Amino acid sequence: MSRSMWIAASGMMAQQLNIDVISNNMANVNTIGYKKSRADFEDLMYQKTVTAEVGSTGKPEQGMSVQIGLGVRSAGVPKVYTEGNLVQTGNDLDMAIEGDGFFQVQMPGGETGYTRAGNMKKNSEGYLSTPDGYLVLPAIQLPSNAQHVFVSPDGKVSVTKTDNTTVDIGQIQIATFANPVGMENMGRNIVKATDASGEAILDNPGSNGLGTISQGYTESSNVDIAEEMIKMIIAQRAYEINSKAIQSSDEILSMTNNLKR
Amino acid sequence: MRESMVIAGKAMDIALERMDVISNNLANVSTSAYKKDMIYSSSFKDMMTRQIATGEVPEIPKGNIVVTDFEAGNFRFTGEKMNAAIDGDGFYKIQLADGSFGYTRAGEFSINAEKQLTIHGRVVMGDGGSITLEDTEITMDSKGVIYNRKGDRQASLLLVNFEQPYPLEKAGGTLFIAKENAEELPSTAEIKQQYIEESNVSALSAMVEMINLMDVMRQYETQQKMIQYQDDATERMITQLTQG
Repeated sequence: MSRSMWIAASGMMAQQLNIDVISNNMANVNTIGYKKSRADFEDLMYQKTVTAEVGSTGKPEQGMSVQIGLGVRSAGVPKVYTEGNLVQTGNDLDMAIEGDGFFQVQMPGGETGYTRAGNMKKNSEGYLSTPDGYLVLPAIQLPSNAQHVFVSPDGKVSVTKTDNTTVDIGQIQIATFANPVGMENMGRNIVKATDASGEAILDNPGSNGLGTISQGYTESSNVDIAEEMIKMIIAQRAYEINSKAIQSSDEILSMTNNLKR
Repeated sequence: MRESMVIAGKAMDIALERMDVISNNLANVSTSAYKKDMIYSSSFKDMMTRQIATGEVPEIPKGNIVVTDFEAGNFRFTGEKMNAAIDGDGFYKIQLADGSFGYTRAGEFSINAEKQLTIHGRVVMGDGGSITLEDTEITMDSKGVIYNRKGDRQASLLLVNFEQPYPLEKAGGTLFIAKENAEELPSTAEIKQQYIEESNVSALSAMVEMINLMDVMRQYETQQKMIQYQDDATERMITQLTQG
């Protein structure tokens, strides 16, 4: 019935999506390795109306075309892969990647997932795993009599046993992607490779421009609360202004109905 | 039917069209590099003066004209390597699915499965056709030359400009399509990597749009009242004439 109402409604829906994305970022401000998202928008198609005028002489005059935009839509919600701050934890099994790269984890379905969250745990069989129990690949088993674990910046894992001998137990490999933004988010800090992201390129940390491992640190989320707050205020006001447009359209409709008394 | 009623009805239509354009501007406050539309209708006063001067029969108001305001939006720092704003007059050239070209200033880049540089999924043109990149770790200089992480030159973004007033029409997707016979000119604008150009429906122009909203509503109301007065007058005329 009223075009402007639907146009303003598309604006409200866009701002709702914007607020959803901001809320999720804010909810994950303390999530290790979380990467914030951003909502992108683009305008919808334009409707061309040619208003063929009939002048007082009864002859059609030269019509003028008017282009009317039909609102806004989402152009995607890409992740923003800037690096979060490294926070010292002092925990042997906490690792952060300084630079590019993802840890590989084995998902329950057998697929490989990728994560920046390096808050590792030891599972019941001594394997290095994520807090959710997903195995870190390549699998590294910590001996039961291990006293200290050392992870070098290039990803070599060694342990000191209770008898004071040191042994190498594995090598952490990290993965990079041509287009990390194209990866699919699986929740639990894990992303999955897609056609858009490209194949994983595996290598040892520190080689070929990959990041290095910092043991005893975790990467905090890259969410900037001040930035999100500002975005939220703007989104809320934008939502409000679109609701005003709907109210105005409504009042106009009511006036139309009141033409006939 | 009385002509004044038709005129008022036409003015109401025009007000509705203004309402559509204002709503569309407000819906796109968060759309990167959106350019707001301004709608003008031939003013009633002008036409009245002309008609009084020439003694023409009053004419139904003409339609609206929509003009796009190409003023640059604010630049916002995002810190993302795949964001780039155009500082100055110019557009990125985009190849559309049907092979034709579009133009945009929304510098939200990504790469697709074929590793081509895209904006919102549409292929961006460089100086030698589409741009294929190794990965998203890129650096752009102010001329739009793209370097990879090792610092090797990959390609250069194609920036085009047009003579003003721009012979461009909106096509949705923050894209513009050139009208026939529009000539592409080289652009001297600078590229600012890690910046995004925001919509030019800013806080200030949002206020102007709010005022426009109120204005449209009142105009509509005025016309509504005009029709009602006409209706009343007709009614009175009928009753008085039939009383005798």
